[in-house]
Amino acid sequence: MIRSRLLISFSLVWIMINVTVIFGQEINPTIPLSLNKMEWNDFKKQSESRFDIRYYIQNDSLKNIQILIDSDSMTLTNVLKSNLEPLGYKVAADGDGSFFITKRVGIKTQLPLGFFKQAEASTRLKQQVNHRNNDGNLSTSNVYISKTIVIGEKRQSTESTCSLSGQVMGSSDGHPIVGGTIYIVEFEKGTTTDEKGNYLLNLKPGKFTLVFNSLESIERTVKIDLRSSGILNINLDQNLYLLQEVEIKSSQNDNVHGTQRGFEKLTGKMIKEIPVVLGEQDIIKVAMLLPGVTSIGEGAAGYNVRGSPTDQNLFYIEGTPVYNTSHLFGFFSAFNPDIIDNFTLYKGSIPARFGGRLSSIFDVGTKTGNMEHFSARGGISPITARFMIEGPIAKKKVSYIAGIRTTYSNWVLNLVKDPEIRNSKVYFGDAILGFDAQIDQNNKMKLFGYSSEDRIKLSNSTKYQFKNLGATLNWFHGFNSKHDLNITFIYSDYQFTEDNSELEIAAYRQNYRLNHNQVNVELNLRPSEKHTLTTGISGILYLLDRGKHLPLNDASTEVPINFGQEKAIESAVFLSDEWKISPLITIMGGLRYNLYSYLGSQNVYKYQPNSPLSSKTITDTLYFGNNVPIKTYGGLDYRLSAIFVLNPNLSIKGGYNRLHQYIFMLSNTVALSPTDNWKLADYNIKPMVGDQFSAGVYANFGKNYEASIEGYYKNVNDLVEYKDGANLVISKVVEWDILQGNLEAYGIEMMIKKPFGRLNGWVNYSYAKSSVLVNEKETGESINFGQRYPSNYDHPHTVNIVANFKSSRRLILSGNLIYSTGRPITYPTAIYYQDGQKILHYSQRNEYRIPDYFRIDLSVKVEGNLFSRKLAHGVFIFSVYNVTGRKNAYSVYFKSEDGQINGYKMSIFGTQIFSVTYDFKLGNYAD
Amino acid sequence: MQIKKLPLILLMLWVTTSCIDKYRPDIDKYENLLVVDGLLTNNDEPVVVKLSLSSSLNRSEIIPVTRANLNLSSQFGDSFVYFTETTPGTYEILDHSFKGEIGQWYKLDIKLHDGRHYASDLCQLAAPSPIDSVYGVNESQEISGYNHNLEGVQFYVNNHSNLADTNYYLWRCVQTYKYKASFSLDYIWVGYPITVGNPDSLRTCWRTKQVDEIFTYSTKNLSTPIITHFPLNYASTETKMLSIRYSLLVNQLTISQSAFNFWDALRQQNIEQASLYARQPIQIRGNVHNLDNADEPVLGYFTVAGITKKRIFLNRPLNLQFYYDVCVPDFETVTKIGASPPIFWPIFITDIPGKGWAMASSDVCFDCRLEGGSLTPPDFWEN
Repeated sequence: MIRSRLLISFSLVWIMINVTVIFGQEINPTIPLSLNKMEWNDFKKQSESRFDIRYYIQNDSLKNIQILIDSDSMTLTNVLKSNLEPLGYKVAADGDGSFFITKRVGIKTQLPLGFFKQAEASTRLKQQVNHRNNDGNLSTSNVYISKTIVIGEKRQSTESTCSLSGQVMGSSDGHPIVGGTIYIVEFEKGTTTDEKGNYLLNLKPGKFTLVFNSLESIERTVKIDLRSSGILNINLDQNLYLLQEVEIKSSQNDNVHGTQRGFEKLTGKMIKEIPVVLGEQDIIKVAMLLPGVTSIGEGAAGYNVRGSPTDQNLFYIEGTPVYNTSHLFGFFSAFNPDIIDNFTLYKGSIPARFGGRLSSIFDVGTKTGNMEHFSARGGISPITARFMIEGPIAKKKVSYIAGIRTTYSNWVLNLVKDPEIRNSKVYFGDAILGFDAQIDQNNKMKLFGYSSEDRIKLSNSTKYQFKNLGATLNWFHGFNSKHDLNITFIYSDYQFTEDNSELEIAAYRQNYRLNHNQVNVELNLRPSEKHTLTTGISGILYLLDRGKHLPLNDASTEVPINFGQEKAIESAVFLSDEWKISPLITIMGGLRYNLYSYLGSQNVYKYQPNSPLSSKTITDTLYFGNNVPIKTYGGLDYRLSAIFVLNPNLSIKGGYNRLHQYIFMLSNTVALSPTDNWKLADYNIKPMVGDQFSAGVYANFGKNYEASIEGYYKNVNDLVEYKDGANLVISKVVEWDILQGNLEAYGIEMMIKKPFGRLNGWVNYSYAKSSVLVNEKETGESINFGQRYPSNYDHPHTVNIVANFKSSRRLILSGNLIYSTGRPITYPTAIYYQDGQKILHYSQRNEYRIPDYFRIDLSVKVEGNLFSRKLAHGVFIFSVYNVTGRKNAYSVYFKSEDGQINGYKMSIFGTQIFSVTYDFKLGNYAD
Repeated sequence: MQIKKLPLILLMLWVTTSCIDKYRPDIDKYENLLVVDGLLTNNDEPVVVKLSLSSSLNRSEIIPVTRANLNLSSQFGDSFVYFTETTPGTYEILDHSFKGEIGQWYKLDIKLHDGRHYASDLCQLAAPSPIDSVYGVNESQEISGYNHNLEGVQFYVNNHSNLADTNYYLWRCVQTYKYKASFSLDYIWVGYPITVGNPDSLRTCWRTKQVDEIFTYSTKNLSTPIITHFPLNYASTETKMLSIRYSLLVNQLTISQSAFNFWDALRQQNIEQASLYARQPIQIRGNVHNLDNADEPVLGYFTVAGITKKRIFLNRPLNLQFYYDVCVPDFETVTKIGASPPIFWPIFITDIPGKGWAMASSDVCFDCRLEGGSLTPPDFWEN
């Protein structure tokens, strides 16, 4: 990598020398007629790729201009002048390949009555082609500083410090760039953009060089002459689809300077390059390659973060909580990958605006519809087909995006001889619809809808139907670029039905429904450069129908059971502040007060004190009328984290979190079973409380590497666990079957990441322990005879390696490697006889482990041709899942069969799985 | 349960290899625990309790616990009945007129030779329910690894109860079948042929074999205490079981809720582990406890039950394909029998009409007893 950069640098030096020596050899190529009638963007790319030239465009509003070429002898300067000057643009060239296009009219800003106004200053073009970085080394090459932007008016400059603020956006889609960095070369300090892409700098008047950058963009260097407070909005080109191979200097500041710990963010590009099983891109599978995220096994629904059960994760897609994140019982995640823009996983310090789950917040951001033009993309894999469209409804004002995905694999099942499989049917699908409206500079509205469905028929005896439906309406109001208000209405609904006719006399239908209604009001205040305050309120109304268990048909004599309905309100008020005490120390503190009320109408039981909860110890039955609070729990969450920057490439971060959780998953199986459902904390079941301490060291080294080491200790009280052998399908009174205990988890996570370059990826290792103790002293009840036992998701050692290699513009090779300790399991330790049959006697809970897990996946992504003038662009992704074909154990079990005890190992994907996925989109490679 | 097929459904799209392999992890730990296995019913079969120690996974064996003192007391601990050790580890009430009374409560008391003292919980003998019918239905099943469907007879039970209360059932099935060796034994070669007087004397056998499966069900969630079409065992045509005549004895035990919890847990633990969404296996302890050390795990159950029995007979079903192993007559080697050295003697020879003498690869082809049966039909056998 270093060598190639040196090469570029040397060649540039050589060009420089040539330019100076052969004076007058001006670069001004003759443009062939084949580029005639192209739209500007295509023309730009084509000409840049054919000739050794670059364009500098101050404000790229040329997109839809058609470039006309009259004859085959026109030089580029003439072409540009003849096409653009009539439109009010000015064209200039420096002679060695740089062409500058500017609007003739310069805008100057003033500060009328103390209000900030947009500054779009353009004055002189300062040609500094092949500029060397101030540090004097040869490393930067393609970074050109082309102009100085004057901000403010000198004569008004009575201020001793001026504030410079603005928004950083992606130039192609106009989306705010979150977590972008702004680096002031002269001071060797900087800041980052917030979730709206806004930044704020306080500087003395003067001339500065600002470097704008983000993970997904090309670095842009801007020289400013700051005369008084003003606004500078910056568009950054995305580096995702670049025709020119550009060496990108990484934003060195993110890893070290960000206040977040235990925070992972990945963008759509990264998600798409990671090899996947059966050709289905899957964000949850990608998340599992991050340190601290594991699962019980392949095909198991949900994921475990830092030794916590799956129900301690809150999953949001565009602000909508999703209660069932998977298709086909956990084999695939229920999200169309085309729609996903990025995801953020908070597993260490969870911001105070989030609450309600102890372990993690998984926040998926979806794409905003393209405000400029219509676009479509889609793909087919062996399992599914998907399609997405986006475009403007009113140009630059309102856009839409819509995507669907569905499976079509039933025909294959029909070919199988086994009647049980032949008679099985699998259908799943999901859809997303989003509208975005940029009402004006300060107001944005977003409407987002999500739906997913599964219909599964297994043999002729069991049918399942799962449905998710969610919607969010969000209004963003910016008071100026400093403060903003966010109001969000959220609706989410999850339901399932199971029809089971395995035994005719007991054929039944069971249903379940969870309804989540929420209002959020959030205010972000930036009173000064040092403080970012976030405050707000949130209220959730849960309406939960635990369902009915009904005979399926006349032949069934199953007794109908109504499990009843539940209602609760979870409200919260929160306040947090990110305080930059000095450039080297930042503290983030937050408080969140939760008030949870379990509401009637409901009958609840009272029990004898200090005795097991069962039908035998009931002392009283209390009836509460509709909406009467039955039990109210209040809890204060704390968030505290701090960062100490030791030097620009090294920092220490640490923090403490406390959270409360009022809804949990009823599950008595090792992996989540399809009919596991959510239950609210109630009169007899207490909410869970979790504390987490974490601390870490973060460093950047070399040019492109980020390293971190982070440790955590976590303690959860009132974890809900099931008594041995409890059968929850039939259990109406949940408190008879559960006990509440303690979860303890700790670990250390190490990661080295190379986010950029032809070869990029990461390596991480985690050591983690997680164990559960259930021993209710008062009632004398316990699980595992009162001994602490490893949790089902305890994987002490985990190694993940992810690597992407961009072999050429059209070929990307990717691979990943996963190793983890096998999950704990209970094995038999003795055999005994009953009535002549062999019976197994089992050890204490989770005393043993299944064999270790190891897998390598590879994929090759082949881009279609790079012609710019084509209707659609296609990409083939060939992938092999589990290249070594290792039969990784999902479970090990023993069975008594015909008087023999046999041990078995069950593997889900116990062989190589090849798949081909074809993705397409309208437009060319770069669009 | 069905869900275990799910990975197969997925994999059918790409590969056909099975994803379940035999596997034996190293489990070095071994627990030597007392095991109680006893049954008391309201019928007049002898009351037997077996005491043993659990054995290691690698070497399953019954390790009898001898020289213990056992007695049975009724509800108020008044009328004691004593057990006598008849064979090592097997204790029996020798007074064969003794039988359990419906509705009575019983408790088993065990004193080991080393002084440890155990007792069962008090168990009530539940009223038995009538079996209405036991019947077989021809059913075929796909089994991975076979190139043909598994064919056979699935047996079902129908019953009803006169009690409105929940009935908890445990079914124990015993199968007996008549079968034949492949060939008649006409000559025995011992350097020269000896003619066998009755060539079919070793050909027909009856074998009784317990069904190694636990069947439980309760009427707890049924609105009427009637069980219909409840599946019991499956007899396939992979063996000779159905080849001539088959008999199934169904013992229907009506047990207490706690006994049901024990047996149902054993049953589920055995079948459910193969599922993708299995429950955690657990240590299942029985109803016998050490009176001095409640923490000592004691395995097995002293089951007290009301019993009903039903026996059915089934002739070789028509319309079924049979796949059990058959012997191939060897007409070749028999021609060189004169040159066979004495270590191969005696050689069994059959005389197939029209084809002549033939040998076979194994004596099983001539002597049905080598497949586990006996030459005399059991007393209950009806032809």
